[in-house]
Amino acid sequence: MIASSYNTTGSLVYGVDAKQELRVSRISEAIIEGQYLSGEPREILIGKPMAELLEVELGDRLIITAATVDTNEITQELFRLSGIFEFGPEEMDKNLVFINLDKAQSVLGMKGNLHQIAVRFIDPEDAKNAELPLFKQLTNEENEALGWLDLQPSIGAMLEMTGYATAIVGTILFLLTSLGVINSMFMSIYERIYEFGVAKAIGTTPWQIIQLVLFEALLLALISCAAGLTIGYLLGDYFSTNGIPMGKMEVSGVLLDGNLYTKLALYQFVNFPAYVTLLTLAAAIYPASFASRIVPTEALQRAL
Amino acid sequence: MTNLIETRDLCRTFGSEETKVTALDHVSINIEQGEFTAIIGPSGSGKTTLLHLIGGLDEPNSGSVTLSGSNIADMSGNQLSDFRRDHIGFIFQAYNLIPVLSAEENIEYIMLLQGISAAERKKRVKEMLELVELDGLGDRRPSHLSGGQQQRVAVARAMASKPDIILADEPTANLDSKTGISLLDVMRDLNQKRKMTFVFSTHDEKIMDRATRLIYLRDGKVERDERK
Repeated sequence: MIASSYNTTGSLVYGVDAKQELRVSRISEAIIEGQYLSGEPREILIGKPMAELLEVELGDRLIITAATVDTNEITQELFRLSGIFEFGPEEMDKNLVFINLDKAQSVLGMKGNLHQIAVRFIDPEDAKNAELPLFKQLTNEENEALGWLDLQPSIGAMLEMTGYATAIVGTILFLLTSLGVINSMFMSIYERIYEFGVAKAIGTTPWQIIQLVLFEALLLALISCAAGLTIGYLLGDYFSTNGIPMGKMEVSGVLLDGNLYTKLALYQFVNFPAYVTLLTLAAAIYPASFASRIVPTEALQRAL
Repeated sequence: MTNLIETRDLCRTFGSEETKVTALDHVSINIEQGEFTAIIGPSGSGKTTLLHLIGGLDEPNSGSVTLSGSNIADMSGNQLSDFRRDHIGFIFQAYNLIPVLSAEENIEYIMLLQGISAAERKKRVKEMLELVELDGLGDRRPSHLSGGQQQRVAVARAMASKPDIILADEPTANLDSKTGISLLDVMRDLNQKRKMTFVFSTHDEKIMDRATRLIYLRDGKVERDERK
């Protein structure tokens, strides 16, 4: 519980190693007034909505009331508001409080103990790898080392769902594209039924007509892929450095904010154009077959 | 003389039961190699339908068409196209040139299908354009040619593949008298020098005058067949 001279509210108090925390979290970036923790014992950081609720400004006194870890005795400690942060999601800004680790250990009677150590990997993929030896080395009877996906299964589930949703949307897009190709090829054939009729009348075989339509589809696919790859590369390259603004949201206590940065990969420039080309050719088979079966005498009526 | 074209009891009807129109009714004719034949008759007598059936552009309801000893009903779609490409030249009343190709390309197209070399194609295109007196206009598209010029291109296209038979459907119908005579003279010359067989469907007296044989059609039946 945290109290000012005017009001009181419940809170979730984190004691953090101010210097090390800079390497694993973004608290310092969220400070909008005052300053990040410097190691002074009575420093305290609260969110903007909490500051408004408690009607406090920088330098004002705040009292934290908590139960000690071992004995559950009620203890109180005085702090001076040194910084106000704003992560974005109201739940976080209304409830979180940060103080220095030493002070937290002293207030809560933890005597130099910790209950959570965050490790940041150079390769983010390592953090998802439950088989990483580090997790086993750090796990014993008293401690448990887990990757973030195990610690935050709801985010893992959300990402998995996002993966399925992307696959479904991708499939729908591919189906729509193939319908578009079939439509374009049919329009192109209907506009040229007369030409196909003449071509057949003077000796073009049905198989040659099929080859012609498939060749046109191949050209359509190649030109589309070239255009798509160029536009995709330029946009991907731009957003890989500038990012796509995504706003701020909180999922299971984790802040997802800032920009979403695209990542260009070779397979995207090889596999997807190959899928599109194959899809276009497959979609053109029916129109090609239709064109090959055009009856010259009926097609030539269009000239009259 | 050998029979180049032979039709037996050829029947062709159009429309459903209620609107049925009999275009050809048991037509049997033989055309020999080198003949300059005109099929004549009033509109709706079945002239164009007969040409289409002879050329394999349409299928009869019954009866058979034999070209150079081959029954076209026995041919697959690809075989029939190959046969048309190598043995038959078509000249249509409405020219039926491919509008997106130039005059030269229209003439060259069929030779491309025949697999003729680029040099030979170029040579023949030049020859054909000279023959139909269109040299210098080869790069024009059909929309930039007069009716007479388009029909000359159609004649050149039909002859470029060196077919055995040329089927011409009212080839002079859209031409002025002078142009029509000029084209007919070209075709008659080819018939005499190269023994190319011509079958016309026509009302045109100029063709009738030049034809060596006249087949009269009326209501889908052969009314008279005269050799001059």
